[in-house]
Amino acid sequence: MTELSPTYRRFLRLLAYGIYAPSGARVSLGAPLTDRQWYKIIEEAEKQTVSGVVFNAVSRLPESEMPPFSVLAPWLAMTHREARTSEAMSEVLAQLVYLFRGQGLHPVLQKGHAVARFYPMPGLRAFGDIDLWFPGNERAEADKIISGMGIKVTATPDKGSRYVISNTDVEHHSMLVEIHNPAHARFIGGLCARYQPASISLGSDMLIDVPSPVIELLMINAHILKHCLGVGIGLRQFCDYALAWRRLAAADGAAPAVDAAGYLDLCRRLGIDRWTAVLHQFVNRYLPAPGGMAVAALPCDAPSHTVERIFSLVAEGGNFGHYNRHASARQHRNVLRRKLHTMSSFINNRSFVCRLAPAEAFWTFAHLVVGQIH
Amino acid sequence: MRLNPNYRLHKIGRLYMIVDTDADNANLARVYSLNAVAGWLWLQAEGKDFSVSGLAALLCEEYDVEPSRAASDAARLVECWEKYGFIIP
Repeated sequence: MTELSPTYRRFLRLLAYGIYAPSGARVSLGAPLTDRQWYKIIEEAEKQTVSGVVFNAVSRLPESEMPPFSVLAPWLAMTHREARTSEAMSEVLAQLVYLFRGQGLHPVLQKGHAVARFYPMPGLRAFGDIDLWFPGNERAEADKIISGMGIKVTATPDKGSRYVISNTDVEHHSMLVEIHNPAHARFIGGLCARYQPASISLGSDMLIDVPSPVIELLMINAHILKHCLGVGIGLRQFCDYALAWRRLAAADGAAPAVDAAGYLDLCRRLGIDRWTAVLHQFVNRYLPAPGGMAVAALPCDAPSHTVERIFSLVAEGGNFGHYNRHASARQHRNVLRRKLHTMSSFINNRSFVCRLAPAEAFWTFAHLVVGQIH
Repeated sequence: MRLNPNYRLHKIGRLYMIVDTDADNANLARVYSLNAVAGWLWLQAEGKDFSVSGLAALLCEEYDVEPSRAASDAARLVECWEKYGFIIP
């Protein structure tokens, strides 16, 4: 097993406290850190876009372990800025949902914004954009409504669309669960029809539809797989999965919304069971829940170093591989070269991940080749 | 007078820190530190109308301090908070 530096181990421990520890719970690293170690932790937290979540843990350390004011002050300010951005995005989301529903559409909130409700402090989970999915042919109608407001809507390589409204990036997706293997298209369609979206409140008065629990778990799972196969992935998405699992499939003391065995059967049916086993191993190794309640350990015949290689991908690339991508973007300013870079990332990353879900990897790659995946 | 709602107090460990939630960017200059007594008074004043004499009375209730000393300390504190925009009339 690759040895993590003591500072990185502490970063992971703080992150685990940040996502699992109930609000008000005290946490401890066992010893105070130097300023240099704190700056390294902040740097890694920013890279993985989890600085607010980690700050949440840091603010609950005992006084003897608390970083100095010079470290805390900018971190607190940054956390506030992110929380304000999240609040502003939530307002835009509520307005969009109101707008679309008023036109008879049925938007479903996907990914981060919905998953934030599983965090002890949802406002500290950073968002990049708002992701919406529409049933049937409603997406085209939604695009038309936005275009009609004079807002430029552009097509995305994965058959979705994207625009900016009130300084917020919004994407309309064509897939609820990013499983690209066409052999499963009908099955996925049937699942989505069988498990209808659930309504939740995101702090405002308005109820917002999110995927049903089992679809939501699959959605996060497949999203992580896609990015592991492609440009890279950050710890934030693994936190999402860990928390979604904990809340939906392992509800402590209550009947879980998702039957774990049934969910794992679905993964098997979709050809992503070995990948899912590695995903669970990753969470249990790098984001272990203090006091237990690990995600279900699944039988896995993948080599033990596979989890470590995924961790290397995460540690090097950060959120969606942005750290690697920013570096390469300076070298690959034109679109074609950037796309080639994305493809080469896919090939480099894919070699070991694809053995975990070979058919899905093939079709994800095939979509990439025809420019369907950004 | 009331505390400016754009400023939010955080107690982190023994530190009381105020953040300007209305700032355009996360500038270090927008985070302020209060000592424990000022932080405690801020918590008492949050969301309410208050006066210098009211803060002085709170100081006398909570700490072993002469009324005259409490009055002058409360006046100095309010003057400082006004200077930084922490208070709205």
